[in-house]
Amino acid sequence: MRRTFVLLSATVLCLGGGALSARAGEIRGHIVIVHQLTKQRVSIPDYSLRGAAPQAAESPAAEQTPIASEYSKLAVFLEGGSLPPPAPSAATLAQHNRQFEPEVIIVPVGSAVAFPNLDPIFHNVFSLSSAKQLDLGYYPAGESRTVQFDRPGIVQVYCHLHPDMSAAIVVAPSSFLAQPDANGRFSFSDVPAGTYELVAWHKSAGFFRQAVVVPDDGISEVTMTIPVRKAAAP
Amino acid sequence: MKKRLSLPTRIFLLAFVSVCLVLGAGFWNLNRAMREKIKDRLKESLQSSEKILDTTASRYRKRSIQMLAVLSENPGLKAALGLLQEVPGDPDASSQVRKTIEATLFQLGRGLEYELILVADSSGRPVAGTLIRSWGTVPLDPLPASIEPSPLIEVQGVLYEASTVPINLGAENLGSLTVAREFDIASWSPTGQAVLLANQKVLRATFPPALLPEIASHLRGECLNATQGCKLTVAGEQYLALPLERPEWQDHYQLFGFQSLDTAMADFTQDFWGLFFWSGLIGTVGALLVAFAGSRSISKPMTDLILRLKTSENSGLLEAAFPTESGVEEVNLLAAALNQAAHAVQESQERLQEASLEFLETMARALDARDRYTAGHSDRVSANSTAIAQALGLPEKEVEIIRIGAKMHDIGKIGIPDAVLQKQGPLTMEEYDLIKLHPEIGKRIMEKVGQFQVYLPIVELHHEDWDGRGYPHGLSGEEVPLGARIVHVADVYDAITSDRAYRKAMPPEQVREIMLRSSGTMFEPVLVETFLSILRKRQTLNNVLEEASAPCYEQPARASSSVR
Repeated sequence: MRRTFVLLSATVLCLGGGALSARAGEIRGHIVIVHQLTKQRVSIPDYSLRGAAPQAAESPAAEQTPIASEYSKLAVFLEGGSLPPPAPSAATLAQHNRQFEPEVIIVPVGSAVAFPNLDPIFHNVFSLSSAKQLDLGYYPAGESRTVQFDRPGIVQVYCHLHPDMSAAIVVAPSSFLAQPDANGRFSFSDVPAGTYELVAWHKSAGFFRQAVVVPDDGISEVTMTIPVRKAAAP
Repeated sequence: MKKRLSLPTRIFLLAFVSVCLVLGAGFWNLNRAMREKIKDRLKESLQSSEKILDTTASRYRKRSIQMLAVLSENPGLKAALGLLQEVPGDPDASSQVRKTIEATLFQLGRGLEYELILVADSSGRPVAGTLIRSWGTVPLDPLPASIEPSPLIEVQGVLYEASTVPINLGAENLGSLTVAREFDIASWSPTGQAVLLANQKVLRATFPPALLPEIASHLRGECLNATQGCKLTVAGEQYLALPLERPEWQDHYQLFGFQSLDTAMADFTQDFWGLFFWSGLIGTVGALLVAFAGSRSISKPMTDLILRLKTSENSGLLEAAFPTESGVEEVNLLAAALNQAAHAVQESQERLQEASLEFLETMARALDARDRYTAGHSDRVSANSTAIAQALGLPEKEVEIIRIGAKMHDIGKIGIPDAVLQKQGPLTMEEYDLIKLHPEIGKRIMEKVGQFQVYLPIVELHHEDWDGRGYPHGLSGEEVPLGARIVHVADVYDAITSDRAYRKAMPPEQVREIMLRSSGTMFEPVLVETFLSILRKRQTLNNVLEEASAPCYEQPARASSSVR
């Protein structure tokens, strides 16, 4: 079976804050991926192609460490409520070894992302995404282009020259954003009290949303199961 | 009743009929053997053409997949598929993305020989598709609800032969790309028919629809596991059905090629009809000739014998001249036996003839003996006639006939009363008329015996005169056969040189005169001349003999007289 179901036990811990943090709380979350989200590469049935190595041999290894591979494609951010406008930052999405590094980045709206070419060959970064359509053209090793992302959304970038290269830039509408660690954990501090929507975006599986309430003081604990279990579906 | 057939006919029929039978049986067997051979060949050709088709198909499929693998590595297509993840549940955005993908597919499909290009997402749901027509490309709308990873797909009622490859992005699968070409069942049956079964149901067929239930039941039945093909009869025509194996179809689909054995047979026999016809015709004519020649060669000596027998049957003479030199030993033996028989018959015939002749001669002598005046008449006439005939140089056979004929010439006098025949003194007119009947009476006596036919003219006509004043018919000149004319001369001569009851024999001078006077009236002049010269010679000889013998007997006397 190609698809490996991996059930991860999960604990979500939300720690309540003291009196000190009456106007702000903290979110500690844990994203639980209940099975592999990425459709594993399918090899061509009866014709072996160059560069299309059969994936079946790798799948046992992938089963053992599904989390790392899935969590690296994941980004979370808060949305809604009365969040302060995000402060633009800078990020880098490098082209290295014919791959984008990292695979997923998350930046607040207005940020500038640099696309340095670290390979000794040309790349041509482009995106068709509605959040930002871009085509950086060919540029050689050592050069870089910088793009500013002014609209929130997902920008998936590809290379015209290398069909296997892809990455995604999540342009978040707030500054409360994170990429979960290898265990799926993340935390947002200094979140104003209120009701928000926790948005998780997985490069293969898309958006997952869950309401989260941040109390005046204290810690809100959030557990998000991806994909969303039917029983817990809103 | 037993049918009677001549020997040649019998031999001919036997030879001809048997050769024809052998020929016919040969052709029939040949035809049957050919039929089997053709069936085998047909099967082989079907199998090999299936192999070729299969090779072609798998090559096509390989090429398709190669091509597809290249096509699927299209960054634009991948980027467009990625867009779908940005806009879940947004129909407008989705249709926008779909248009983007269609645009990519238009570009991909341009110049390709496929008729359908389809992209599905990673869950197998079709996302966008393009139909490639000869005039251009059109979006596939509506999209099929789902697309099976199947070698044959049905889209908008059209069956396509499809090849599908995954669209991968790194280690991730984004979906699949399917290219398809319309499945044309007719292309699978270049010379015959084809039927495509899906789960043992007829999906497509080149047969008329009315025949399909019958075919399907056959194919589900005896042909289901017949990998070597099976024979079945559809609408009275015999077909060879062969499963055309496609490895990628597994057991889901089954394609059967149908080849009409009858049509193939008809084609073949049409090709060879002329050959069959001509060899049959030549064989028959050859058999006819051989049978004819054979019957002739076998029966010819036999029929020759029979012909000779027939001839001798007609002539009444069985000649010992049957040929014993023919090529058939038995016929030679038969001929030899016949020859022996003929010899025996001839011998006995000759003996019989001799006996008859002796009898007749005896009768003639008895007749002569009735009258002392005519005693020896027949013998003398015979001798003189023979002499004349020999002098004329006639062949021995005719001389012999004249000799015997002359002996019998007066046989008819048996029927003349003694009173007339032995009358002393001259005859009255009536008596003379009676005498005149004797040639015809003699003829009547002798004509009953076949062997005496040759003597009849002499017996009947020896009183006819050269000038036509004779009796019984008054024939003249050469109307009377030579034999009769000769005997006439000898007869008259003997009559006038013999004593009669009423007169003495005439002296030689008078005889000579009478004979000369009658030459040209009674007798043919040449014959008289010949006869007289014979007589002269005889006279001279007599004189010489007398003179020669006289000294012998008289010498002592003469000597004595001379002594005296």
